[in-house]
Parts: sequence; structure tokens; C-alpha cells
Amino acid sequence: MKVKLYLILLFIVLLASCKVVKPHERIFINDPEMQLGSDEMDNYDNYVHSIREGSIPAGSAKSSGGCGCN
Amino acid sequence: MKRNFLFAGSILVSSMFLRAQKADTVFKKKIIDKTEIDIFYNHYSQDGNNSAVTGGIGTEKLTVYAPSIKIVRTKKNNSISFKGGADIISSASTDNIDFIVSSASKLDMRSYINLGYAHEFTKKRIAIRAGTGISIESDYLSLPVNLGATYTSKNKMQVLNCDFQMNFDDLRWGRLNENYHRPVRLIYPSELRYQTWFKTYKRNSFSLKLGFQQVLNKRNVLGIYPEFTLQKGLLSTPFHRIYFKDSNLGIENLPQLRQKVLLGIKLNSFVGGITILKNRVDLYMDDFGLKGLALENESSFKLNPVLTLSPSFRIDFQKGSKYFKPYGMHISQEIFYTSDYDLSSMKTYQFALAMRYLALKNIGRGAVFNDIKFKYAYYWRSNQLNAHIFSVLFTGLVDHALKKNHRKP
Repeated sequence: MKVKLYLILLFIVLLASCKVVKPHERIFINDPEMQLGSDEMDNYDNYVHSIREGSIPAGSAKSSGGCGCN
Repeated sequence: MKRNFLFAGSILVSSMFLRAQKADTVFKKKIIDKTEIDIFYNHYSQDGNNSAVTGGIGTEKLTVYAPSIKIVRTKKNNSISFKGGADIISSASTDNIDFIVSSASKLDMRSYINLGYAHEFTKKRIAIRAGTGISIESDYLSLPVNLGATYTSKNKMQVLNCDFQMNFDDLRWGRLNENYHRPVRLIYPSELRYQTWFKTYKRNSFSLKLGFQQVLNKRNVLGIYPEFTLQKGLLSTPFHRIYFKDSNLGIENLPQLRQKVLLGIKLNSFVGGITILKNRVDLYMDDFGLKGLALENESSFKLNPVLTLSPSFRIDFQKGSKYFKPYGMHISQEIFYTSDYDLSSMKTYQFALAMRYLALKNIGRGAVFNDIKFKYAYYWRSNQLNAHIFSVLFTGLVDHALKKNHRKP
């Protein structure tokens, strides 16, 4: 319960600190390393975690069960 | 009078000059016409002693060689994607379905193809996408269908994603067998083939994946990803043995309905001039009683304009399923049971180091070799399973507009 409360508080604090970033100020935000999307390498990591852990990460490529013999 | 002629002449000449210049340098909106290519290879090597095939004891030794290629062709607002690959699996536990242990473990293969189409409505800042494919291995066929949309706010501060993903799976064996070439039956352990253990062989999964990205300020971006999944059908693996306390032998039996709720939170921060911190939290729960909390940090250091080094650490805490018990601990009067350690209580650690080299090398005719990325990860579970994961990714681009210009004399 405490964890949930801390996460909600953190979320509110982060959103409250939002500032409009103009196009010429996006040098850091537009850096390839700053993108939130996943490349093929991240996808494969998520795929491994989704098989080896019963609890799969959000955004994982695999949502169905799979063979399971591995 | 002479002066007027000179003035009129100079205006005429200059206007002709301007017209000529206009024809050469007038602004043309560039039409996007490109092909992106990703070539990926992963080598996965694992060992452990809790194989579900032998009831929670026995070797989990496994090697997977996984090459794949992804091609995305974009023209104007439309893009078509293709992804194809194979997982070549050498697994000791697969031998134990029949207890035929060869010196070199049995090889199996999963092959897959995915096709996708996306269209962007530029003025509305909305992109829609759809995709399908096929994944096939000796005892598994999966047909995925995806539909999705992305909305970007006018000031590009927020991005909203919504994807609906369906997987229609069939767990029958026989498609790749030279004597059948069609689905025949579920594969049970050799000594348990005297009866039919499951009436269904289908497994259908439906996932709603949402995403909300918010630029917080010049250096921070936040992503929140809730996800809901419903699975129906045969959720047990038909060749996972169960050794009961009373010496009976059976097959893993799990409910035919499973609901999962996931929440992923990502925060990327550019700190100072060369450091990017990528933090991620994943929360998970389902009605099998599994709960998970994963924390991950990747710190990327831009050593120079072309080289980035990224060490990372991930820890996962998992509370096991209410249906899990180790080898010989289940009683045969129970309705649902499994000895699959993937569903047990455990902690998981992963240490990794990635290196990205931004080559940006022009290899002619509009083709550019973008970058190469290597990653090594060591994965360790508190029940002693461990894995070495090595990956390499090449990305390239062909600019067809540039290629056409090259052809012109």
C-alpha cells in the first residue's frame, strides 16, 4: 500500500514539474539514447524475461504462453 | 534618358537572373522515401537444475541461436514492415520428454514472420497500424494480429499509444514432422501417452496495451504503460510432469483462464553533458497468484560523439503462483498443480554491458550504415538458474530519394 502511495506521489510531483519544451530546446530530449521506445535488443531482453519469469514486463513482445520446454 | 535605360535594363537582367535562380533553388518539400534495415543476432546459453519436463528436477541446459532481420519501407505517410527470424534451440530438457538422451541434445526450431502496415495522418498527428504474422515450431503454432494507434499532441509534449494484440495458438505437434505435415496431437511425456489429458489444444490471448509519454522538461521524459491480458484455453504445458507425494505421476494442470495486469513506468533523464539515466519499474499481478516487481537502471555514457557505453542492472522480485509446489510435494487430490520453477517465488538479477558505435558510414547509392550495438548480459535466478546472453544489432538505412538523385546525369 505504501509503495502505491509513494508511486502516486512521485507521479504527481513529476507531472507538476512539466514545462513546455520548444523545438530548439529539444537537443537532449531528441537524443537517440533518450527515446522510450524499444529497439530489437530491448525486445529480445523482454522476450527472455517473459519466458524465464512468470511475471512478464509491460510492453513485452510475447503475451501468449509459448512452448515452455526451454 | 540613358540613366532610365540602364535602370530598366538592370531590372530586366536581374529579374531574369532571379527567375533562373528560382528554378534551381526553390524550396521543395522533401518526400520521405527510405528503407530501414535491422539485422540482429542473439546467443542465449542457460543452465539450471529445475526442469519442469522432469517435474522440477533435472537439467535445464539450453542454447538458443536467434538470428532475425527487420525491414521497414517508408514512403510519404505509409510504411510497410517485415520481420523474419528463427530460434534454433538445443535443449536437454526436450530430450527428456521421451527420455532419449543423445550426446548432442535434440535440435528444435521456431521460425516466424511478421508483417505490418502503418499510416500517419500528419495534420491530425495520428498514426494507425495493423499487423499479422505466423510463428511455427514442432509443437506450437501462433497467429498474432495487432491493431494500434498513436496520437501526438500539438506541442509534442505528450504521446498516447493504444494497441490491441491477439494471439491464436495451437499446441498440437506434427506440422514439421516428415510423416505428417499436419497437426496431429498434443505431446505428452512418453510414459503418460496412455490417455488423453486435455480436451482442448487451443490457447487464445488478448492484450490491451496502453502508453502515455510525457516530456517533463528539457532533460526528462516519462512513460507509463498499463497493460491488461486475458488468456483462454490450454494454459498448461502438456509435457510438464508432476511427481506427487503418493508416488503417482501426472501432467501439469493449470486453470483455462488467466487474467494479467501489468504496469510499466520508464523515466529517462539526461544528466550533465554525457550521461543518460534510464530507469524502469515493472509491476505485475495475475489470478494464478503471481506478483512481480522489477527495477532496472541503465546508465549510458557518451564517451565521444560516436561511442556510447551502457552498463545496466535489473532486479526482479517474484511471489510465486498458488499452484506451484516443488518435486514430490503436490498431492493428487489437488485440482491445479505445477512444478514449473518459472512460476515459483524467486529473485532474479541481471547485469549487462552494452556498447553502441555510431558509424554513419555512407556506403554509396543512398545507403548508410548507421550503427552497431553489442550487449552482454548475465542473468541469475535465486533458484540457481543462470544464463549468458550475447546480442549484436546492425542498423542501416537506404534513402531512395538520394539514390534517384545519384542516377540522374
